[in-house]
Amino acid sequence: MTAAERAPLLQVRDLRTYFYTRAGVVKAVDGVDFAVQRGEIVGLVGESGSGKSNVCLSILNLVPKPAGRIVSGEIVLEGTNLLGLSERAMRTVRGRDVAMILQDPLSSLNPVFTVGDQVGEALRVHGRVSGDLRERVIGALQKVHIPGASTRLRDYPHQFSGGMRQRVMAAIAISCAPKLLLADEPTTALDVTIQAQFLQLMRELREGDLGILYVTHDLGVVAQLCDRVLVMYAGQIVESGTVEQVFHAPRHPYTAALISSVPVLGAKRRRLYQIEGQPPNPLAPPAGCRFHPRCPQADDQCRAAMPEPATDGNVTYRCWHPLNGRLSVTP
Amino acid sequence: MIRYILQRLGQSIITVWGISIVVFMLARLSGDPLLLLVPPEATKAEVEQIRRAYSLDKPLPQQYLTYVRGVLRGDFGTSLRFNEPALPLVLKRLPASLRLASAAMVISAGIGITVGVLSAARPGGWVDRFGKAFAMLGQSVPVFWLGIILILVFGVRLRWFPTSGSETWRHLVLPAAALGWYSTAAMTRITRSAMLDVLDADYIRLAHIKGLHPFKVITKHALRNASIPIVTLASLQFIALINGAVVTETIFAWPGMGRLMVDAVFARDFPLVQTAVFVASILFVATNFAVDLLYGYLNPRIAYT
Repeated sequence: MTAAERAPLLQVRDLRTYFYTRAGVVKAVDGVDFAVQRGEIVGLVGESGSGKSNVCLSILNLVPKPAGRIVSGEIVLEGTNLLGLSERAMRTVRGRDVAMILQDPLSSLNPVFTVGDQVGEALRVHGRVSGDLRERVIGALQKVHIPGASTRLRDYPHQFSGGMRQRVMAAIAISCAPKLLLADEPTTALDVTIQAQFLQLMRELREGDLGILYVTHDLGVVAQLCDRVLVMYAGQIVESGTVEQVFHAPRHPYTAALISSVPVLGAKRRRLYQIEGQPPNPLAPPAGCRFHPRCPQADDQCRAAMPEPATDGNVTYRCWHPLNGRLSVTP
Repeated sequence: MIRYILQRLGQSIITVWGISIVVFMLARLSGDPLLLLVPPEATKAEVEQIRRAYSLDKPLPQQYLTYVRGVLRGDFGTSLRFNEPALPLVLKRLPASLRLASAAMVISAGIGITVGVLSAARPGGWVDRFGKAFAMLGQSVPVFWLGIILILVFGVRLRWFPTSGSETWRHLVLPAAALGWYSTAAMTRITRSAMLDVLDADYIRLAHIKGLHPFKVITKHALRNASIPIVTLASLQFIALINGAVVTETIFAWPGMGRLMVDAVFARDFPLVQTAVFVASILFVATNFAVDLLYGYLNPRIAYT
């Protein structure tokens, strides 16, 4: 095994993506480090507005301009820093090496082109057609289990159900055999049975070398699907580790609170746990640890300075007072 | 589909019929044509004789019936002013009108859509700002003034283009420019706003994610989705340009329908007015029908039932 093969598929270092708005600077992604290995599914969880989607868009260098800008950091895909590439070179990475599935399958497919056209588009653009394009498109549709693929490619998106449309999205994503797949809440708009089928599809796609960064706010999905999990809060990753370690013994109070707010089947009926307060104002995040205004165990140290990432060997966390393997935040 | 076409055809016939009634009535509200036809020294008896000759002494419903019966046979009556069959008079002017309107449309759609797309691609950029000024100027400068300036500059001074007549394509340039500039503004605005709506859509983001060139994203994914309001406006403008180019036709001595129609109204030439409006309404209905069919091609979600 060479060094390049041992290195992670994707290595993100100190990524900072800021939005320069009239009201001020929004630090949507503020110093994020993580890696995705080949054949690994990494879950990225957090509340709405925590910066999850902007991490994905930063990897593709598609942060909405001119307000959004990647201020610093490195995004290394198989040894190449994507942030150093020209726009032209970046276009050959998009769709070919890194693909993305968007959240809403109803609005993400162009209504006026056939599904076959849209699945074949990336193949055409990247010149990845050896042999018949139609066969390749049918192959991609079959891979995501769309019944009757050879006839359905002439249909338009509105002739597909929501679940089927999300499969079409997946077919578009895998059409060029990418190395990395970014899935931005792909099941949020689907109902539960369809969601389960889609997660099964994700598992199948991972067979082989495909690395998946799976963005979600659904911890249940993370538990079922992912190998590792990154917990994001206000633009920073506050905890990361394997799903098992993080779920059973979270070190960060925010992670623990998130896990506690998931309803458990068969548990005693009582009010669901909820995290006090609101997510911080992105224009003026609190000084110190960004979670401190909502944290039951915050003290002066938390209010004064942001803790640096620390590790206990298994889990990496950013907290002055990490929990001791208890799944509870009530003191 | 066939059912839809038949249905639309039926509706079109009713529309044209309705228009014919309205025009028939309105024309007769404009006054007595005989006062303009006969010499001032004519006696009352002579006037009544001429009135009878043109069947204008009959009650209105009867006149209308006679008119409709004639139309069904292809006889649109005789122009009071030219003393010639009305339909050939109108049809002779139609090609020149279509040519002028098409040329003006090419100019306004060509410039309007290009500037609109570029403005939307970069709102607040120099194309956006310059385009806005250009459009505003086009809408606020009166056509008669613009026409005269064009004639002075390009006809008299530079001698690039002839200033009147309709023989060659060179004759078409100045009147089409004068006529097209005005509608360019509306085309620019509608294109810009339709494109801005579309460019926000998720499928545009997906097109970028696939690695498409931004130019391809705009021309393939965005423009097609923004096309429906643009096509709608273009079709309305096309109709207006065919019939409403009176001023331009006058300045450039262009033998079009607009002038014929206005002259006919002033002369109270009922048969000619009726015929011209009839032809115009057929054009209107046909254009709308063609546009409706085009919608189905542009947006496959539109079903014809």
